Amino acid sequence: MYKKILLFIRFLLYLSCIGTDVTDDYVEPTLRITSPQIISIKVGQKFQFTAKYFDTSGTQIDNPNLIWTVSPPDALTIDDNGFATATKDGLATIQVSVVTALGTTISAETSFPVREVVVITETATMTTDTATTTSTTSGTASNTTDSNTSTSTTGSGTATTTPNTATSTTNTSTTIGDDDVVVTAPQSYQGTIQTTSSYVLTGSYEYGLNDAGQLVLDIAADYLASKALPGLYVYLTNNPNSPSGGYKIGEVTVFSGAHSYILPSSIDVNDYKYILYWCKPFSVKVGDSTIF
Amino acid sequence: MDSKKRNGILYKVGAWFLEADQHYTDQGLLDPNATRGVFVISVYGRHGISDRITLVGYIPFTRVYQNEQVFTSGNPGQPGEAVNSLGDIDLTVEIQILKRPRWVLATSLTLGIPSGNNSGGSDGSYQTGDGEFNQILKVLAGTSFKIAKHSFYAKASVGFNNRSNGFSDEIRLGIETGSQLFKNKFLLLARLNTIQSFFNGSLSAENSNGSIFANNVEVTNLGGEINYFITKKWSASFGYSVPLSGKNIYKAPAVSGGIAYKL
Repeated sequence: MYKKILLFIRFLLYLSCIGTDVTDDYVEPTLRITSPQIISIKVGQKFQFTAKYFDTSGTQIDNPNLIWTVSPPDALTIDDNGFATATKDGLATIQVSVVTALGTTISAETSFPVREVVVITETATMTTDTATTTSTTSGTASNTTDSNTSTSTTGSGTATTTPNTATSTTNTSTTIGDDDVVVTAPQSYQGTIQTTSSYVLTGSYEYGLNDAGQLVLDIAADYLASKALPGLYVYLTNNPNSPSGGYKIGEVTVFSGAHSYILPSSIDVNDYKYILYWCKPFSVKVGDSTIF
Repeated sequence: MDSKKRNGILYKVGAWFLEADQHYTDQGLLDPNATRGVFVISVYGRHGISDRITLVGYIPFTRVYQNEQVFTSGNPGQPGEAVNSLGDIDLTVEIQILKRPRWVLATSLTLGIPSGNNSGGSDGSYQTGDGEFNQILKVLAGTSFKIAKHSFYAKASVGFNNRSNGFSDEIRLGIETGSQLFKNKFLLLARLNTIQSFFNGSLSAENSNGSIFANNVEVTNLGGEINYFITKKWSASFGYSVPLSGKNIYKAPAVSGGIAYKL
């Protein structure tokens, strides 16, 4: 009898051993142009393009072997480090590519006009809607903004820009004079946090630099999160399935209404593509938003 | 009432186990979670100090664990973790109010001693107790009857759990029926229990210090149990229950077993 009891207890103890849960957090490798979006550049001016490469875990790879090209070839000159000089009036496209660990080539590109003369006399507003970029100006006509200005990412030679109806971007450039010759769009993004679980989590936000030059995640008054799930953290990440490799903003302590997170100066506005809400005790994603 | 007349003693060593990779949310919907397990070894005792008064004690030793979390990308996951500690001890006094040939009416008061760990583990979520003082007042009614010359019993209970420290109060309902089989060598029973919250507590994720399922727990469980009477004094039991619905609680079947000794 006692041996049977001991055997039964040993069986029950075996049931309570710690096992392993495996989560598939694969993401497509991405290459992202992180330098500010050019609205217009004057012939003869120089500009430093930058790009970052993220592998299948969403981790940024240091010092990738980037290949920069320009189209048409006489529009700009660009060196191996992405340093470009505008040379000829017209629409130009900068493309950067990298060979992934899987042997495939992925690329990203940005297009913008090169002008002999750049003048903006009124405020310009640019709105990003799904996969296309358009821009308009008001007041005195100018040739600074151009509906051909856009940025896209391609993989293996095929355009794969994904429309994102949850995110829109509104950029406003300030009035400049003739002496200012490279017009770049201020980078701020607006979007909506959405639940990916059965817990309530919703709210709109704006992500970008504030007047003091700080990078801020401003969550609006319509934000609402369930109070039933403690251990909720918010991250910036390049892998929407995992907080690993991301930046932990902090534990969620506000469950309704407007609030802000001021981010460290070491983070650039284009460093992270996703906002991720993660339940740490349960190790599951609760909600997210694609920033851009 | 003859308080000097004893009404039997029973001791039971039991085990209870649950492992869940999903849970009921606050909306009563199902969501996934990292696999968590709860394993309890308990000592249970009943001591009738008279025909009408019985003292009951329940001492659990609880293990709460979570599986290691691994990402296919190789990104750092989360190591597995476990906490072993004494759980919340229940002390109960049962009083028989009325006894008729086929009916019995009783009441009980259970004091849930917060002897468990309500903030165990690296993030405080490995709880072996809720950290508050439960006071459960219950009324029970039981009867026996026959169907086709076969004897059955049935009982029903309604209880109110007055909770402290910002927890919501609860109402607890239960029904149970069973019958002895095979020359009374086996007792087979079925149970339906439910806990419903009044949602009147103040505790939430804003102030619960990382605990999971801190408050407003609801669950309806359907279960069965088979008892085998090895001798007149020794018996063994095996139970199985499944949650039918719930809020803020794991969704997984629970298995239990035990060895009882009756004096």
